[in-house]
Amino acid sequence: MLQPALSDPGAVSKKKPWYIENPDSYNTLRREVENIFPELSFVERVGEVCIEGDLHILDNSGKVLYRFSIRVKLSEQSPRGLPTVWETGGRIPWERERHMNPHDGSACIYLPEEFWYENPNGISISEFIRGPLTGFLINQILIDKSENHKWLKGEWDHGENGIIEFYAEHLGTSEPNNILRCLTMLRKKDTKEIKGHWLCPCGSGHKLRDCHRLNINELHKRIPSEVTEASHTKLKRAVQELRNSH
Amino acid sequence: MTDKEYLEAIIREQTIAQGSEEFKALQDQRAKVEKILREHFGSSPAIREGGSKAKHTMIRESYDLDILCYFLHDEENAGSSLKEIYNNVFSVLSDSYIVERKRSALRLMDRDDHEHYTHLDVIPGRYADETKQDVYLHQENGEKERLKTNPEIHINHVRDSGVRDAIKLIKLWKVRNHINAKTFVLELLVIKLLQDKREVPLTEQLSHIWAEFRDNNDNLTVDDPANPEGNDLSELLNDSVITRLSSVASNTLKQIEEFGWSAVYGAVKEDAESLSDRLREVASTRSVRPWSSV
Repeated sequence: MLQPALSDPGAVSKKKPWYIENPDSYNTLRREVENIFPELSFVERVGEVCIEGDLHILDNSGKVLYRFSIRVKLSEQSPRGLPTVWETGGRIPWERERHMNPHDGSACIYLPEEFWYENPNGISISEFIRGPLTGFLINQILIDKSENHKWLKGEWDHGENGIIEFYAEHLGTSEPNNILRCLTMLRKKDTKEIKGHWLCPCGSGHKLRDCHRLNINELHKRIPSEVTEASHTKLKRAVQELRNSH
Repeated sequence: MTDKEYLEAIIREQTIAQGSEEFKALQDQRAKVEKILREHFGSSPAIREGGSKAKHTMIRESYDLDILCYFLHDEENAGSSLKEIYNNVFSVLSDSYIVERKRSALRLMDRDDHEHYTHLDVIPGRYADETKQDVYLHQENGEKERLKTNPEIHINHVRDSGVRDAIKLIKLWKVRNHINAKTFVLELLVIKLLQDKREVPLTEQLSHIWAEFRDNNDNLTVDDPANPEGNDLSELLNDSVITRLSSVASNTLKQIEEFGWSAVYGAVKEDAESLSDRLREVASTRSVRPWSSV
């Protein structure tokens, strides 16, 4: 199984992390986060910058409902990229059913595709902590309080099945080979490289221009090619494994 | 509610939340003080937060924000001696606040309302050298006129101790029982006593600390992690402090045995159902669909 594309795209890039390239931007971000979240601090280690400490979960009147100990590793690619998160207080078990990576305990808060589709310009680290991370942690508390709790916005299936589910919502097909064809298109660096006379990857037999072109263009515009590349590799391997097993 | 849940609820009640009025007021006060200091001393002094806020051990019932104001080791803008620096910072702040001289800190009171404590202490000092690690502080009283310390080591020692919850609850216990001990010394004691008990439940950690205070008070000693040889903390942990710690700890353990933990910290008002409702309400606008990469 491939390693998860938990952080934002470009993980193979040799470029220096943004927080080294741009210390002013980093210091501004640091001040902002430490002002908003009183018990979170930046910790700089060799090769990474993390935010560590206690995150308060507040109700709408500002009262503390819960506290979580967390570590948030900043994306190396941009200050608005998808960070990697660990819950360090031992409250959440490392189980895939809880959307925690069993290998290293990192939290699978977002499907990378959905993160970039919803936030094509990324989101600031404070927005991320206040929004998706807080939502994720609250759902974890509610699961602990009730076995019947369902994730409030639903949840993606695990691994490549989750990737298929995401593209199925945009293409109307969950056939893995069709999704692979879609990902092959989306790996192109430039939208102009995707030709309207190509067959639509949804499997309808229509030309792209007469079928899901708008959806494909939108996906292409919003999701970085590094993310679709990683999903393509993951899905291709799964399809091949399935073929071999037959 | 289990004992563990009870203590967690007490800590939540004592947490000054991000975005709360108290927190904003503290931030505003801090910004005002920094502006005053910058206007007089320019950009050279390093001004940053210290104390319980930086250590992440602040409790609502009793908190101060320490503002560290350290001048470069070779700069004489604010004075050539530590005493001059201390007095000059005092003088500058006195234009806007009633300033009380503490041993090394300057405590700020509101000028319009003398009773109103701003929760701010300013600690002037000077870096020992260009590495900006060790700091010299002036001491108004005490044996030595200057104290060598290292705020970074103090902050990291507490913040990364792994026993911050126990520290918060011991601080609260100290306040509620009017124990006249320096918080810094109590923090060091808690960390030392729990060095082999970081992973045990909070109830067990606290019981262990109080049992040590009660039964082993002859051996209660602490070292300053920033200057173990140079700073003698025994004066801060003298016989009267130890006696008081021991007697209150003994009484606390009896209370727990007879009446349970609520006898120590009082009742909490949360009930589980309304907590879930409020959590759901907050999560409703923030949830995303989680995935699992494997």
